[in-house]
Amino acid sequence: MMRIILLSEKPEDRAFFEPVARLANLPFVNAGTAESLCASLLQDPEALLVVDVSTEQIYKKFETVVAEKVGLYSDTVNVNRMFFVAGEDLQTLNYVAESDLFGHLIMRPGSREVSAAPDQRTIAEDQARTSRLFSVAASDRGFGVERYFGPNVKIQEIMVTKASQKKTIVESLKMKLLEVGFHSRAATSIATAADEIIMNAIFDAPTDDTGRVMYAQTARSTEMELSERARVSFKIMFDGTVLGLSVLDQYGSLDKKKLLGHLAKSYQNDQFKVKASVAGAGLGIANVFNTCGGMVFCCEMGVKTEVMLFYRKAKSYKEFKDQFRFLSTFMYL
Amino acid sequence: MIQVHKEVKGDILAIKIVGSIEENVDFAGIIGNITVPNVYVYLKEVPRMNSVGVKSWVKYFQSIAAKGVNLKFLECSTAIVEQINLISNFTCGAKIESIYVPFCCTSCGTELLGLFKSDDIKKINLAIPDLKCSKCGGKATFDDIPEEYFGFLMR
Repeated sequence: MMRIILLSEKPEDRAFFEPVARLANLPFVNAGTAESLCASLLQDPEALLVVDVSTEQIYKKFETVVAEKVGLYSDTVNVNRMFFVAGEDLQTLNYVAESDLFGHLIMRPGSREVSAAPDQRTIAEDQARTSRLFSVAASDRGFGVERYFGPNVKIQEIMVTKASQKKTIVESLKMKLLEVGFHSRAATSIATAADEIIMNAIFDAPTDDTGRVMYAQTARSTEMELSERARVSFKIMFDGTVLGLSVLDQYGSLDKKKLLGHLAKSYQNDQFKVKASVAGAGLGIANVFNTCGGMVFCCEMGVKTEVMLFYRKAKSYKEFKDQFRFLSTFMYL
Repeated sequence: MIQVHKEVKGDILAIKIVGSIEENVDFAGIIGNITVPNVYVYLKEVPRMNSVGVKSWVKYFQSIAAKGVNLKFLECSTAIVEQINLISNFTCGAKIESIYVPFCCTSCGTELLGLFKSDDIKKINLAIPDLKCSKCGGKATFDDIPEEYFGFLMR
């Protein structure tokens, strides 16, 4: 039976996820212990697991029990249905980024000391967003950015057929966001994020039969007509509160380990300096992750990858930075 | 496409960069040879930068700094300040002379910018004073997180 099983001693997690389960029309169970969660999982491999990983000690204990009771690489463990919860960002949770069990990370709402605690309306919106994410995770595939929204969302799709089209799309998007009332710095951040994910889809996604990235050494300023397969679908979606962007390529070449490694890097740290000589080294996607609300990577290997970004409209940039954050990966062989 | 305005005054080359810094930028081509010991770069009108632009920036300004040129960045836009904070080697050794600080009116939501010298922000311990909104006269408060926006001053 499809259900949500929570493993967290934090009352705020139960308070947040129990209503999420109701919204997603899924039964909710509080596991209490990792052993109990594993026992439930063995009976019900379809369950969505929500696990507190606030500290490395908590995570390691969970991982050890899963390894003993179920097996880390067992078919019973479907990481596309594994949700970690923490109050920190991925850059301070290296053990999470390196985990073989990683599927999703939900950053605990209100954990960032930016402004006042989130109000009830904001929490309800975050819960609704999470319930849609859970509903998608409970389904067969995670593709389709429109599935992360309610019914009243406006959608625009643009087919990118040449590399130079990106600039026009990015500038038009920024203007459109300003028109609908996004803060100018937020509009700039979102436009830059669109720039990065479109550029990645054009230059980093295409691989040849041996898996080699075809344009790894190609200057990103190169004017290229895109072949039928190399064309990129770009979607913009807005429901009046949340904006969604989606980029879909037809290669399915995403390397999840590499991706998580990029997202966990902090270029503020001297350990990771920007190397001018290396193209496509993950700087762009790391910056997108730092500024967005939700980020979803959905990849069917060798077929397609969809990258989705979500941003909540806010009255100020400070509030924009404080939005609900999650990182999701759906990988299909 | 970005534009670069250059002016030499004595031993100082003042460069003003206007436009988004992206994959098409060729700093070496548009700025040319540096023949003076001091380069001051004015960045008020750089609204946006992507990752390829960042790499071109680091490559160019690292090469300038390696020649012993004294680099200063002035009137840094919010987009530039974000990069300074996000990337440890973005400044390439330059002194950050002044930056634009973002404000948002608590009454009408108007966005404002104030120009501050980095040294002055340090002196007031990042406690940026409120401004009077130029549109409604209301109170405009600093619109970011001090520890993040001024993070580079605490390194």
